[in-house]
Amino acid sequence: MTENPYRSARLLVFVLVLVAGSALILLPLAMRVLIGASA
Amino acid sequence: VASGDGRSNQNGCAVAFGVLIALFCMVEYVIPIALVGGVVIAVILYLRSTFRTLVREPEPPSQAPDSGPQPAYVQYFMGPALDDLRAVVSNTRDDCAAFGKACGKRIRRGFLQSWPEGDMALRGVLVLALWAGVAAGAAVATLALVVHTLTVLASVAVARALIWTLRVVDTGLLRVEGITITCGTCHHRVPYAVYACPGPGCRRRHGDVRPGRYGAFRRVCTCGTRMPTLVLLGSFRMRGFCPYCDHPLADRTGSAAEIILPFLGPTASGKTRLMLTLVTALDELSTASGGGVEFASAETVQRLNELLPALARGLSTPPTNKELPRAYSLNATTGRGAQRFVHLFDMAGERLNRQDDAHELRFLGLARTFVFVLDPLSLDGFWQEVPVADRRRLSTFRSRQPPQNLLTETSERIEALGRRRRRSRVAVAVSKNDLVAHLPTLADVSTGSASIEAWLVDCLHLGNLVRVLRHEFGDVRFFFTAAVVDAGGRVDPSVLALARWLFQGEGLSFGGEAS
Repeated sequence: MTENPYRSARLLVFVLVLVAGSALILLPLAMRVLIGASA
Repeated sequence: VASGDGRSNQNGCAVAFGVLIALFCMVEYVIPIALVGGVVIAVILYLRSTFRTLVREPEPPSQAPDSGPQPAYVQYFMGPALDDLRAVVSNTRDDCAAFGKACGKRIRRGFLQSWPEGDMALRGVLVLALWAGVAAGAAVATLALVVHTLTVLASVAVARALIWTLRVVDTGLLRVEGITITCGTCHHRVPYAVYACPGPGCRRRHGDVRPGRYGAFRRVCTCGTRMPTLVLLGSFRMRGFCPYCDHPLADRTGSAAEIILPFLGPTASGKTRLMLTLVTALDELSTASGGGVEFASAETVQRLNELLPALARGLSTPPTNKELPRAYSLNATTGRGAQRFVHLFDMAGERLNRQDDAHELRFLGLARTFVFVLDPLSLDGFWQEVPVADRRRLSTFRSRQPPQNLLTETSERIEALGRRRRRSRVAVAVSKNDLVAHLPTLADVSTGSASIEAWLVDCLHLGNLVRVLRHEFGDVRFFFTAAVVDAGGRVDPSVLALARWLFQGEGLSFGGEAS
């Protein structure tokens, strides 16, 4: 059976998307925490 | 009646109070729960769609190999990534729409239709909660898809930039190293070899394996075999074919610069013997310097194995085939790590005489170094000086065609084929020195280039030929050559000197000085 030639690239994109989504959620929280700490 | 009215008023107040509490609960709890539920469900639907598209891809791949000229899968970021993006967007949208519809239907049938009539406020708040949840879910799903799209587009941009950078670097490296590919059969300069898939049982041909539409570092053949795309990754180890004539190229072609070395001269002037001894000399010099010589094609192995025994036994070599010459391809390395592909073209003198075939001899336009073989016995001025006793013995070795016209015409053909001869080098090999060195006419001639040149001009009246060569070529060197090997298989020092000069000028330095 032929191995899927796109497996690793798709996994990479999946991970990138998760990282980007997580960053979108976590960045504002982190900013808020940082601003709160500095205030 | 009054007490009855009072009870009904009390009941009405209780209902109104109950409705108020229900409204409060709706606004306080149901709408937030609907909002959170909508968001969570949208995220789950998006992740499910993404997971199904990117991770749980069925085997074998759903994408077929490209239907274009290359029997390979298109590189993921050169097409399929955008197909996957469209699939994620459309699946998420469809899933969210289907889920919203299903929820609406369930609430309408199972909840709102059984709700007490008249409580329009409650109905309104419930519908509002549902819509709020759907709107929140749609907003979050859209945001997730926007992030997904931006991430994929950025990945595609970076990957494509990397692929084209790799291609430029690969091409640049070949230029810097002076690596070219020449077909030994049809003599075309090949921009990039056609490679056969190295997979077991697969003979598919791949036209241009460099980084591009079909791969960055590797490409995947239809059969699933991964093939390197870069010289640095060893693409030259695959079996290469000429895109013009479909014949196999030399082994490991494309891994080193080439030396194209044509042997030119009249029929029976000694070109083949000189070429054979030059192969032996190259092997001797390379081995002595710590390197070696390999025959770079099966055809070279076969033809040289047929010819070399005759050289060792001192026998005559058979006349050269009058067909279009095929290169003898060698892979030579020195102890200092220099490597060159040497393509030797031994061309039948008869073919050089045919004006019509000039366009077929493309290698003349690709070569930078030439060997003109000059049989002194073919020159009347020399032959007259040969003692009568020796003439009978030497007449069987004598070329019947004087070289002057042929060499002059060949020089013009080289120019017509595009070679800038002022940058070219030519070795004039005065052949058969093993037969004539003892003759009195050569007694005062040393083996130095200047001495041989002076002898050719002054004694043999070849001033015109020498002037033509000096005018047409940047570097002209004269050699006496004896194309023989001794009992130990070692070539004559005259051929070693010729080999040093020829190959040293092409970047193969063996140590020691060229004569």
